[in-house]
Amino acid sequence: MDTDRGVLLVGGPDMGKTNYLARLWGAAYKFKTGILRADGLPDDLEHLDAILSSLISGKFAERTNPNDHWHCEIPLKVASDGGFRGKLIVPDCPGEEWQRIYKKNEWSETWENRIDEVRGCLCFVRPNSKELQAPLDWMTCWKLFGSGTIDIPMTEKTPTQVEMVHWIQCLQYAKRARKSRTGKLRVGVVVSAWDALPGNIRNGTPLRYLESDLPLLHQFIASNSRTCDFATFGVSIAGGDLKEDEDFRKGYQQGDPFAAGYVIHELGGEREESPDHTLPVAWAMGLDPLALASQAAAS
Amino acid sequence: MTTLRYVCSKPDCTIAATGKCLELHEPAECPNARAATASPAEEIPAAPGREAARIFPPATELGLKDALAVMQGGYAHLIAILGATDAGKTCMLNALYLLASHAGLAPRFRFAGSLTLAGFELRTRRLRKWRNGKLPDQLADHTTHADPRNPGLLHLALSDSVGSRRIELLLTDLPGEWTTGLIKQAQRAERFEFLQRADGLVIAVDSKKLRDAGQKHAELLSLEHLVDRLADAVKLDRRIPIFFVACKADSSGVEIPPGLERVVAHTQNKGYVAHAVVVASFSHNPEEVANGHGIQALVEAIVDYQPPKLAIPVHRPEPKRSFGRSLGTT
Repeated sequence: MDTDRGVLLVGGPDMGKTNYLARLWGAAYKFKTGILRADGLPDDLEHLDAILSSLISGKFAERTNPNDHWHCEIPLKVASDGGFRGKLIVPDCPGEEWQRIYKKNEWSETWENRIDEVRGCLCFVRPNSKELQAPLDWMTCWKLFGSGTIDIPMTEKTPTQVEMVHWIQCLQYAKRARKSRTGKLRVGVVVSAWDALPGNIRNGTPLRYLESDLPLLHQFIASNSRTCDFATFGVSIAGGDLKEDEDFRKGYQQGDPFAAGYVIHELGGEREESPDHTLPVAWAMGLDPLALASQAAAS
Repeated sequence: MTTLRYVCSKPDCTIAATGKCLELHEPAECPNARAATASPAEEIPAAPGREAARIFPPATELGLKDALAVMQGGYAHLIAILGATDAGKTCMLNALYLLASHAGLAPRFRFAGSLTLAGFELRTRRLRKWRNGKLPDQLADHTTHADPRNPGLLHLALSDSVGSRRIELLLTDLPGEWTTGLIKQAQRAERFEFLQRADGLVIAVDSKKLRDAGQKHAELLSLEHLVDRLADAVKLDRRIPIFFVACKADSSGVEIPPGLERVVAHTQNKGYVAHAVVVASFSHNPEEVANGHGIQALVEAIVDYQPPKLAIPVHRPEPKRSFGRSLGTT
């Protein structure tokens, strides 16, 4: 089997897309213990090399420059012989580009031309990001509507969960309009920086986090299983805070930085922790990561 | 003659493409816009691949023909909301959206999607206001993202655990002037033609006025006039249920305000199914009256409503030829 299976990395600014891409490339090209492996080098290696170098040096990759639109095709294959070989098409564009799609309600030819090959998407949300916009609460709205006399300035920034639902709806709409034949869209919601969450949430599941903190998105997932396949992942690309926690950073640099981090998922119906960072992408590509993992273990 | 074009320093403004300022300024008066006709070389070149290759349905509000696309996917409940200015119409829409956003309609209803997310968001922030001056006379067929707030429809899809169905709600967002205009002049009835397709008609009433002795009688009279106009001028189908929604219950109490039952009886006498409902879209006293009080009950009443079946007389004409007779079987 040799097919192109596009996966879009979706999310606003500072939601963890670029750092995940760095970890994914490191896992596929160098660490090679996961389901997906690099099948040679991509034609354009400069960006991948830069973000991976930063990560293995003990620094989170810088946010993507709002003017940079980088599209890469990463040749991948499954670890077991005779399985899937193909290209992962990953546009790594700044979060501002996704926000532009929400605000203008349109997208460019760059997106339109790639939508046919898209099997799935990974939508990123980083709970500890300053860019995360909380939903409007009743108290704020009462100040606006309850008295009618208080004129408080309102931010025009849209809640993150609203933008995420809008993007998924746009992808569904475009695929329907183009009569796409890639089957049901797979939508993985990735809660990045999972290690930074408080212990009671971190020990739960990503879906539970969405239910408590992003209820609109959580309900949307629960209500749309007929049109999309959904899965939720908690991802920690380093396993700790490389920026603020100096002791952790030293330990990370002295150990094997390729082996750091983990993925939380419920693909088997229960909470599981996996060291395989390629797992969310493998799922979004339409593969069955658990079956592939057991095949690999058996061989 | 060269048409004056404008470009805006705000990156999200669509004035260059549509000629319409997102902040509703006249282009010549907008502090962020500048004319872009002097020389083509001075214009900001479009980034490669940035031209719109796909424009999604307008996310601020839908026109009637935009809504048809929703209806083609399955049955959509059209809920028309009438009421005078400041009666509480927009607050009801916002409260419904906030309840859906915060899983406040669970366990029966869950948010399942919306084609007008941006419209709800802008309304809850009071960033999408009616323009001063003349408003359009009709519901638009189509709207575009850059249009200002126009009479239109908001869309909200809910999954309903009762019957495991998906419910598409199309909610009208009409200026209060349309309601008062209909009361004043029967000729305004034409713009309400779309009501014949409604699954429920909600008439928002300011309950504070009904508890104010100085305003109560005029308000009740105005409501009865509205019902008469709907029955006689709009000729609203008698199978469409009418809900009188007493808004602002947080300050007026959760009991049906005095006199409103009289209006309900008047409406029933006209041949309609009518009910009075009390809501508090936003509560300054949430310990006693919850935010969104009554909103879910209103939605349930509309989507669960079963119109009486038409008693169509069965007409069986006598056949011209009876083969039974010719075969000797009768």
